[in-house]
Amino acid sequence: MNVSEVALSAFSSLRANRLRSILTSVGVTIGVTAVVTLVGLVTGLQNYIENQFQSVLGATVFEISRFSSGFDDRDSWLQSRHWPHLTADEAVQLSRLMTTASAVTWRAGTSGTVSMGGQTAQDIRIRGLAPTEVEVAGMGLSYGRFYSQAEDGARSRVCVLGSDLARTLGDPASMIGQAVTVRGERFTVIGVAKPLGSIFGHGLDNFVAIPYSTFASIFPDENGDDVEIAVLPRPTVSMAESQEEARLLLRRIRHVPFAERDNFYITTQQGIIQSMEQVTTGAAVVTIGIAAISLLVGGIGIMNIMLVSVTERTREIGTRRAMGARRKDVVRQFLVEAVTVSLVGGILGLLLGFAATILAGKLTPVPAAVSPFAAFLAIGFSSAVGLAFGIYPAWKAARLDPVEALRYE
Amino acid sequence: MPAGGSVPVIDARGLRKIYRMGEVSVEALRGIDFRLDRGEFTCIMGASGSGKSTLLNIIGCLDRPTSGSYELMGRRVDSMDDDEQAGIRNRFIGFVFQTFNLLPRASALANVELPLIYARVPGRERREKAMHGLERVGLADRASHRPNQLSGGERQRVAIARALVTEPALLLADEPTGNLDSATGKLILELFRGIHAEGNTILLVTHDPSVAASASRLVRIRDGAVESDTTS
Repeated sequence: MNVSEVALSAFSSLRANRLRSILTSVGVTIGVTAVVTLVGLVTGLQNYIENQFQSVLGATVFEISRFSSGFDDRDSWLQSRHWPHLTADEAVQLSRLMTTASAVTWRAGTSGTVSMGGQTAQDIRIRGLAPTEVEVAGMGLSYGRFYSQAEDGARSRVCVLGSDLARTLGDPASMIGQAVTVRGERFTVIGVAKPLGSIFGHGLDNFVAIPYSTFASIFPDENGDDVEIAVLPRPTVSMAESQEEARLLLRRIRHVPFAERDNFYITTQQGIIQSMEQVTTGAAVVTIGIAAISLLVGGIGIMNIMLVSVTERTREIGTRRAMGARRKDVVRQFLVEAVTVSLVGGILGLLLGFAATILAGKLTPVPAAVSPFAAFLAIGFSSAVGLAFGIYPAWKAARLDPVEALRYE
Repeated sequence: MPAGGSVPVIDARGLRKIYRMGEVSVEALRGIDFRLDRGEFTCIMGASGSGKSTLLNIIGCLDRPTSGSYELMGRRVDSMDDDEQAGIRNRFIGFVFQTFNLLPRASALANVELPLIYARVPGRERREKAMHGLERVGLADRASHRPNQLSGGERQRVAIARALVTEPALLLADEPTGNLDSATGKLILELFRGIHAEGNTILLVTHDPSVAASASRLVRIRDGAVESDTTS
């Protein structure tokens, strides 16, 4: 009896108990739906995260901060709070000492209301940026210019507007030279930045950038002396090499004793992506565990129904044996039936999972992806469940004594 | 009687079968010698518990004797393993049961095809042979009917077609008329006689003397031994 014949006979016997077969496969359907949807969501999410970072932030820059930007535990956050501030002075020293950096910049920030003429925008990021920001982060300008070293040194009241903020306040093209009020302080607009885009649906262009020194002098309560440093390594130097130099220099500048660990964190975009992926992978592992449980339950359902089926068809098994079926023919018949039930459930689950994935893609910003890998998983999982839970009933059927089976009422 | 010198279909000597149930052992067959030549139509009769079912199971290669030897078409089959016995059943024996034992969800044609599937006969040839088998028992027009759409007599004719489709050396029938009314039973016996006339070897088991009258040789079994063996 070849495989296609066994499959046909399996189908006809499943059709005879249509409702029972469908109910049996529901467990597998649910499990496979969960697996397929999760794989779609997780791959979609990871792609999304990567795209977000790569499109918005340069992958070549590394940042130094007193706080970790990953998802570290609470203890290390508490520890960070006891470390001395990372000051602009330290940033300046680092900038002077580093030989592997093509540019070093530092940043502080707060938020507040910005108004111009009759227009007011609330909750705007107020960024105190060193003039080297342009070199490190490559901030482009649609109109006007960025402030100079001299303007920073003189604590000039000049500012560059983010593109979204500029549009909120009026016509960006005619803003150069206009007066703007930032948290009650008067500034002159000298530039409007090109759009940076958004990250995770959060716009990055609602900001006003002012010279770092100006920021520190007029907002003294806003942690202006606790900055984030960003370093752009020279093109000829490796990221790791430049990071190591910055780390050693900063330890010296901050007088970290020889045996102590660093009292600052160096992060790269790659590092952030990795720690975010850890989170999504962790979530996936938990939910795949749940999917595994439903597959297990589905498998037990299949085993149950197959055992019932073997008992119901004892006489049939006896007849087949009398006609010349070997034990392995009987095993194959029942195994194929179990796998067929499971596969039907799996394919149903695959379709539902694809539907759920596509729906998630439409309703959320996550570009959930329908992948061939998910289809492979669905088929693989459901066949495996059918085989694993069908083998015992099939073995039981094959073990029947033909004489007893023929006599069975 | 067939031409002399040919190998007998069944040549069994000293068949014993002992069932052990815990401490008690029951001797179902107490040393039976039985020979069946090609072209015979023989009937085995016996009351229930006489051992005739046990003998039939051993002859049908569904069971093995505790001791003794059994040759089917010149092959020692009493010591074969499970798969070998399945092959022998498929090649040499056609079974007809009291309860027909058709597969309920399969058509008459598919039922007749069943032994050919296990004989690995390819699909088209299989269907042709099965169709021919149904024609032989006069049921060609019922090929696509399921067993529950057929009468008892028709079901047994499908079962006979199934038993004959592999052209077995031996047709084994166990109370083939037991579940049929007497008129239908007569028709079925008529069919057996026709099959015998075509040169087939038939061994029929019954406890009904009127059925036994159809056969040319009658073997009576009692308490696990041959009581009488008469050829008419």
